[in-house]
Amino acid sequence: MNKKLFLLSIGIIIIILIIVLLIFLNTRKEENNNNLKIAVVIPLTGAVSEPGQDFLNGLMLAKEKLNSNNIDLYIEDSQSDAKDGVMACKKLLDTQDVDIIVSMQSAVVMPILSLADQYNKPLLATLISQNEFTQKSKNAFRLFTYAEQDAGLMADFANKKGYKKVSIVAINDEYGQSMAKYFKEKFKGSIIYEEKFEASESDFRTILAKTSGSDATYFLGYNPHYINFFKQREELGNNITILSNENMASNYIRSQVGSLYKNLYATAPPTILSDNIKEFKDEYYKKYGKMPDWTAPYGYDAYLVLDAIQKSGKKPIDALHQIKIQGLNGPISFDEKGESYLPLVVIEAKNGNVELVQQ
Amino acid sequence: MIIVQLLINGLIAGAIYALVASGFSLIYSTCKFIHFAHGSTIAFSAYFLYFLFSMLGLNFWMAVILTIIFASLFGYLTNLVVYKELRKKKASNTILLIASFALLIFFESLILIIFGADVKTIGYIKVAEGLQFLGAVITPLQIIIIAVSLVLLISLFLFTKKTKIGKAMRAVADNKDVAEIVGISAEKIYSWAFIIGSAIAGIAGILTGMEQNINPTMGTNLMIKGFAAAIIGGIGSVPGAIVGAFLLGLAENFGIWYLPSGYKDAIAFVVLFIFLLFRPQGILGKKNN
Amino acid sequence: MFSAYLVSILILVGMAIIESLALQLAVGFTGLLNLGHAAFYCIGAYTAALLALAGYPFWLCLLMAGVVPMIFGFLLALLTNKIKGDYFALATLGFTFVVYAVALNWTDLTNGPLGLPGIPKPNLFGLDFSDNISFLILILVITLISYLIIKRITISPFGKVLAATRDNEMATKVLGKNTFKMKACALAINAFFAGIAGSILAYYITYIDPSSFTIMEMIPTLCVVIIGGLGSLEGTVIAAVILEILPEPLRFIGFSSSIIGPARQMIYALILLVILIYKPRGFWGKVKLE
Repeated sequence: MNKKLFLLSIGIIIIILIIVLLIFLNTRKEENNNNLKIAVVIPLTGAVSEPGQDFLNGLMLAKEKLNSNNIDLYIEDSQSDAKDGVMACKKLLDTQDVDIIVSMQSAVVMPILSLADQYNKPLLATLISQNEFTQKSKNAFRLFTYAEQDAGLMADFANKKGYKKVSIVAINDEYGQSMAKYFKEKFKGSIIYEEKFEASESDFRTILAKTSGSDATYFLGYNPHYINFFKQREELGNNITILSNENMASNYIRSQVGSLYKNLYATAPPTILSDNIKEFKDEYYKKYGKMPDWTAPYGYDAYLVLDAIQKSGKKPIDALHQIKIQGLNGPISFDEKGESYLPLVVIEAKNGNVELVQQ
Repeated sequence: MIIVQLLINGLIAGAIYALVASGFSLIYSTCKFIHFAHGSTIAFSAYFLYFLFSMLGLNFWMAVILTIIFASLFGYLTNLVVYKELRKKKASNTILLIASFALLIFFESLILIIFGADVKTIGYIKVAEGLQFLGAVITPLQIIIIAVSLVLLISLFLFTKKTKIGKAMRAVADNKDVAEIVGISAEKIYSWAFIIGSAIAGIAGILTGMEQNINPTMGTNLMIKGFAAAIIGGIGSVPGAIVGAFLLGLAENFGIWYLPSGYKDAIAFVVLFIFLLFRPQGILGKKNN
Repeated sequence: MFSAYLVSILILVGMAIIESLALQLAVGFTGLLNLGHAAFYCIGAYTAALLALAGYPFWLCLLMAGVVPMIFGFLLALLTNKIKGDYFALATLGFTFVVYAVALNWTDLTNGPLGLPGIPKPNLFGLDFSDNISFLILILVITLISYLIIKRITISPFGKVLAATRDNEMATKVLGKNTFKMKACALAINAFFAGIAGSILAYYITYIDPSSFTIMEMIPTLCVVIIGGLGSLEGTVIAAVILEILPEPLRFIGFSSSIIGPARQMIYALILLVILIYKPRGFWGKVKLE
């Protein structure tokens, strides 16, 4: 092989590496060794992008309000995908000396937990329904509700409503399958049809046809799936009642489907009811020009937790077990498993809005 | 009745696949190579419509016409800039295949960068209950899809049989050298194949975009299905591609009645693989090599 | 820390080199446009992951990650023996689709879209490779050994027959060589090293799911093989290094990761197109792409 070409290519490689080094050095942040460094791996694009963005907004609002400069946030986009989330998190863990990982979405959080264990860092997670999350590791801390609670509450509601035959249509990932499992456990009637769908699915018509004969359908997915499901339910003239979780209680979905938002019951954090946490909602509106959605309070509370850890001066994992603060979601503290037992209610879709039905 | 619903769903899917596969087959039969980037034409057309209608607010029908023109232009330019250059360098079909692959990736990545990975919707048709038909439901848009593709496919058929260009295309498809001897410019025919094939792809993109929403990988996905349909029906045969497309659409929809929905794409892949191994000329194609 | 970043890049480079060398053997040296490469990569990754999670020793996981795909390589060669040119490429492409569909749907084995998290770090002779630098050294050693083995194959008499099969299969057959056996071996070796590369992916990221194994993920490797030049191992190595490092400056100009992914693909596709039009021999190739 040509010697000149060989030397030329070695030269190119070296030049590229030097360019990378220079740019890298130029763009590094001022690092203060006493600051708490947080890896934030959340979905800013992809199926869970609206909740992810909303969470980030809540987080940054808290940061601004508390005016704290002792916490460095390194934010990466998980792209609503497990593999991308793991790679982004790994990159942060390898190149920055982070103390705590913050992440969301069960499908991404579960693999990141293994990473957290390998690097021995605590993982503060939200939007994590997967039930056994906190049992899998001492590093797992859940700032959210768990599947047994969530699906259990909905199953309880379905029992009280007198539903006898229910279909379950759940996305084929950690969250969907965990919720489906616990709904089945707690529901007293019979499950006449169960189906899993992939994240890329957009056509629910055959599935809707197969749910006929049910009193209601327990449907679990993300924003794009809900929107399509509503539209196709309408097109098929199907009047089935939908049962779901907080994902479906979002104002984003309401704004996208308009008058089709009916015949629906969902579990949701009490923060989404219109007369709750009004001050926060006004502040959010002032800063972002729109109302917060249901994940913003979790972002806000997450920052409060991080702030409390930083102020305690203790090792993060010890601090997490000892904090007792008041968040938007109510009192927050983590038990020895890492659970925080946040509250949940059942809401109903009425007149394009949501109303409380059951505590 | 469930059977009727599945049949209708199968026909709708088949209609879209047929639009994709027929344009693709037209290009293959004349130019004799696999133009994978046909999928990009579809995706770009859908996004172009979104751009004109949902982002710029143009009148819907105006946007549709512009999109179809855009699609033809897109295909024509792809041929001119990339494939023609390669043909000048006496590139083999394999190289053209790899190049079309590279183009597909290039355009899909471009869409991802410009528009992002989120699903977009073209909100022209108001969501309303569909029409009842023999115990199944079909929406007006779905009826339009089936109708439009039937009209287009029949037109395509008449075009290749009756018009001068159509006959010239068949001549080039049969034997390029002989066609050139009688004065047909192969390069010009290639251009026409791309223009027409891509226009059909543009329509496929528009219809799919309205029916199923737009996402960056829609081009690749549809191309794989359309390609499978073309192979099954007989690559190089436009009627074959259409037959293959409807067969595939029906197979998928009847298949997922019994299997979990994750297997839907797998059906297409497995059927494609089997045909490639055992009968690569497809149902209606002739064996040539 | 720049050094940590450099280490992670080099690990990815090592993986890219092994993968590209594997594909180069099939494409450049034997003339088989094997688009089923991603399938072998996938099978290797899942084999290693499943065995590692079950607690088997590292050397066994690595070995099986090469051997299991090899069996599929032979199988694929058997199925596609009579198929030529374009159709061969397409049939192998079909194989990639089928393997992807299996990985996605055979949840009892692969856990489907939930993936396999928590793959433990390799442990060889009591040495733990959990920190990145020791992992890097391990990878570089594996890469070097792979290169030496493949190099040896290409300059051996067997390698010469492979080249003859690529250039003129009919003539080679006439001369009495069993071209099927040649092609099968080439595909098997391709599969073996692709599987090894797959296992490195599994160990490095510690999580795999089917989305890493679509045809899209194979494009960079194909680009490397063609841009580096068919029939040249050194060219492949250099192209692998350059292509892996080239998009990295983008990361620091502040582009988010959802842009960098497609940007990389765009750069690869563009370079590939330019090469195909103006330099189909690639930069260091000995053979023109046929």
